[in-house]
Amino acid sequence: MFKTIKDRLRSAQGGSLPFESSIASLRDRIAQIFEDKQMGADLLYMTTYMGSLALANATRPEIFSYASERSEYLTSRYIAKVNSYVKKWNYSYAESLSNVAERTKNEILQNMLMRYSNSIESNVPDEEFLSNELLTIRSVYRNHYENGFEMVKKWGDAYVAMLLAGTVIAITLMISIAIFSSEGMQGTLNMSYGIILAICFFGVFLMYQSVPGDPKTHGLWDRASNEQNTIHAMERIIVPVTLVLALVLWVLGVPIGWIFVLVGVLMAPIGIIGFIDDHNITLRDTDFATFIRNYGAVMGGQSTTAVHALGAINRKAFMALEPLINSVYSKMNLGLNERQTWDRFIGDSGSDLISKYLNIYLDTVKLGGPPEPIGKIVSSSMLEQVLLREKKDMLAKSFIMILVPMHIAMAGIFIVLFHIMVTLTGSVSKMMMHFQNLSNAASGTTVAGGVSANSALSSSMGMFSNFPEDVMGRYVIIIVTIITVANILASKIVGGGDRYMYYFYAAIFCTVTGLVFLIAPVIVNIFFNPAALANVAGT
Amino acid sequence: MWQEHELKKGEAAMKENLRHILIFTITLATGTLFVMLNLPLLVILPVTAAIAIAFLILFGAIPVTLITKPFVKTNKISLLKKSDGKKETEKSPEPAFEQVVVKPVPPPVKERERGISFHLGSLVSSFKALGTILATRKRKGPEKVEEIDKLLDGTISEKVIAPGLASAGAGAEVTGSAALPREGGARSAPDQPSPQDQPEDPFLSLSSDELETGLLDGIEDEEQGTGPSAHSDPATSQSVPLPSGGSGIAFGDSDIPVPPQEIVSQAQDVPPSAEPDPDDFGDFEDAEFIDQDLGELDTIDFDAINLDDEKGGEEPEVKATTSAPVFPGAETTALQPSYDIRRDQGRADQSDMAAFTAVTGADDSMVNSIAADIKTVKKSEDLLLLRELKDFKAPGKEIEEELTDLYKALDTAAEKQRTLKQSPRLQEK
Repeated sequence: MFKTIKDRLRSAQGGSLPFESSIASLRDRIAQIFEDKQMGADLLYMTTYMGSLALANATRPEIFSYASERSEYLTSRYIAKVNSYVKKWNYSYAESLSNVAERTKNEILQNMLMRYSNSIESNVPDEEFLSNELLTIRSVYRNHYENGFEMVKKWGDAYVAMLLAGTVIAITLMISIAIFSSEGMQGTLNMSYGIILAICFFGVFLMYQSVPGDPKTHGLWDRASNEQNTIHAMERIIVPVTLVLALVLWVLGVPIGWIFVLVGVLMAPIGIIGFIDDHNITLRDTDFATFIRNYGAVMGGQSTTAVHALGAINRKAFMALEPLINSVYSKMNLGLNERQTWDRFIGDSGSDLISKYLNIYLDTVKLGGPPEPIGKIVSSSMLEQVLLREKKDMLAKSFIMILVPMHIAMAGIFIVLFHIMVTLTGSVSKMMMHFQNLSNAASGTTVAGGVSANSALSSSMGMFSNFPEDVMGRYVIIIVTIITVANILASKIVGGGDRYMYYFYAAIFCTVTGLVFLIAPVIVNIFFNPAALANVAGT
Repeated sequence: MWQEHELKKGEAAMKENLRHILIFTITLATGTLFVMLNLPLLVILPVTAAIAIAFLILFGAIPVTLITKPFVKTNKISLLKKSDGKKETEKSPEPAFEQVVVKPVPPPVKERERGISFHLGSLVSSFKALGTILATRKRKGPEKVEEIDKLLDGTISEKVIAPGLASAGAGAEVTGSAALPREGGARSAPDQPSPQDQPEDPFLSLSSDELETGLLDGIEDEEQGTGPSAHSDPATSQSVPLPSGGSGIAFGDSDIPVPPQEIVSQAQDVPPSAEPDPDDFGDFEDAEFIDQDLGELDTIDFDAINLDDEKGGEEPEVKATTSAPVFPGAETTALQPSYDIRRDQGRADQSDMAAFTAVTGADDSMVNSIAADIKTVKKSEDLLLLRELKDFKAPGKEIEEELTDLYKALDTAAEKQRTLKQSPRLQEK
């Protein structure tokens, strides 16, 4: 049915649907953003893989066909194109590379393909080109990565500043509504929501675009680390329960502070386990870079099998990996399938880098490659990524260290001001009532001068008496919720890691927001005593 | 059978659904009840959350085994189960099969009973781990960035070359340049045989750079006593200068001293006809020739050599069983037979000298390989040892004391040996 409608529309519009090209270009643009984010790392993986294949004396067709089959790298699609040009259309490798490069939008990949094409044309051996290219790609990747997090640093600062500005706008609007008339304020509030949403969206989007793509977990559907298994088991229950509970409590009219605290408390166990897993992966990655080098050196140097090489290595030196290596060693000693054992190792490690680089090592060694240089190549590429990640983590840590106090400050100012307004307007209303009573009582007996003074005071203070507490309360809650969600997203984007890091940041920001909501009225009551203000009217 | 299986499957699915509904209802009911009872929220929320989590664990919705079981145990069982099919076709499937069958599967109730304590234990350990994580994260300072940058520079510029080329470039590594450009190009054609396919040459390090024709060209220059070959590799010649009377094959200054002037002059007196023709160096490639020499070296009884006498400038008492002439100036233990030549040099005739010069190249290359090996060993770092000694502090005084003790112990041992040796001589006298 939809197809016929679509066809009819297409024919009516002269062959194309309305906005079809715009939607297609937007989709392409989004796909390009995703691709650009992943390209640096994937190109490094692919060059490392191709370099290792060259060390394994693979022929050029073998190098290209093996590389095109690594579907986990984005770049493999382009290599597959080159391969098909050569095999199906009988182009030379140089021509094919050049053709594909011309149609590639990503600059880094395009340059690499062009370089390869030129090197083939000038009869440079593949092995030599790939070993040199690996150095180039490493430098390019480092540059790309460092530029990325420099941009993130800038955008992070800008994001915090813009968010603060947005909060100031929201506060100004709130005070304006308190001073002036509350009539027709919905439009103003909507504008405020729009401003805050725009700031949050652009801030988060720009940071997402700048931050270099660096997935930390392998995301294999059948295997995961212990912590990841626990998280997957827990989140299936805790996340829906949290959402439902929050909704039910909201409907029941429970103060928002408690709801935020509840969400934070319920998210905390998954978040903490996630944080531990994230840290474990970092340690495992660092250890693995050294381990694979040693393992290759022992295998190559002693010409031993994998089991003997594992036995010869001092496993205690790799504190984070020791249990996993011991597990592999004992399984291999039992005579279990080597590939399955290593697959289990990859799964248990939970790390994306280990998954990618161990596969490169195992594949190329299986093809007859020398373990020692392959181990070195793999180790160097991995070490580079580990070091860059460590550098980025330091930046992320400082960003989050700023963001959390800023969030407390923004939410705190906003909520405290709201409560001050509520207290003040309540006291003013009481005062006004008192003046009204006084004026009514005096209207029959006293002179006109006294009445006029009372009416003048009531008209000047009247601007604070019509503060719409309910509407403004909702406004504060919505703004603070938007800011909280945006900060959770921003922290996850800058901090990186798996999906479970959302729970960790949600636990932090929701708990903090909830506590601010709960503590703010208490503080306001201490410093702005409504009884004292009401007494002003009595005197 | 299949129906039974399906029935069980259906029951399991039903139980799972029931469990979900039960947990949800209990949590909701508890929370609602507390709200109805007008309890303060401060009590309601934590208690409801605690009850919900407790029921999650009790109903087994949170698989406790995932948290509590250590890596090796879980993996071993699952892998063994997985590999059952494959194991049947292999030689001895019994051990794996027995392990699976013999190991009793604990009943789920017991597992659940154990689970709570294990779960609590793991939670405590998780929080302890969190503490250590936070502590370690705090240690990182701003100087860490510079450190990372330095490491990154080193990592990015690390070039890995094929194993054959790596061994060939061993001499280049000594000079400190990790990645010298490869001469002659890499494997250009994809169908060329790999270095691994070729039989492994134990003297591979001697057969490429050191024995290049360019180095052999230098022999002509040395006839005129012109020093190092002009055609030799500049990187090698820089750090490893050629000896004045050598054959043109490089070796280190520190390891090989310059031969005595007498021998050099005698060697120069050798008639040109007896001198080796550059074409004769084809013998270097002959592995048998080198093996033979090495075999002869093996027959030397090193224990019989008295080092004390050598120190005192006396001639060695023990006569080596080998007749192979070796470079006279070498002081390494492996070259002890050269002292025979030195002792008999007064009566050595020209033919001996010709023979010496003919084989000097082979011995030099052997010496060169030993020198290269020593240098390579010096160059390599024991990473494990370094890691172990990372935070180990050794004060200078302690080292000094230990060394003094060692020196004294060695001194006394040498004294004892000397007295022991002198006593039979005295008895004989």
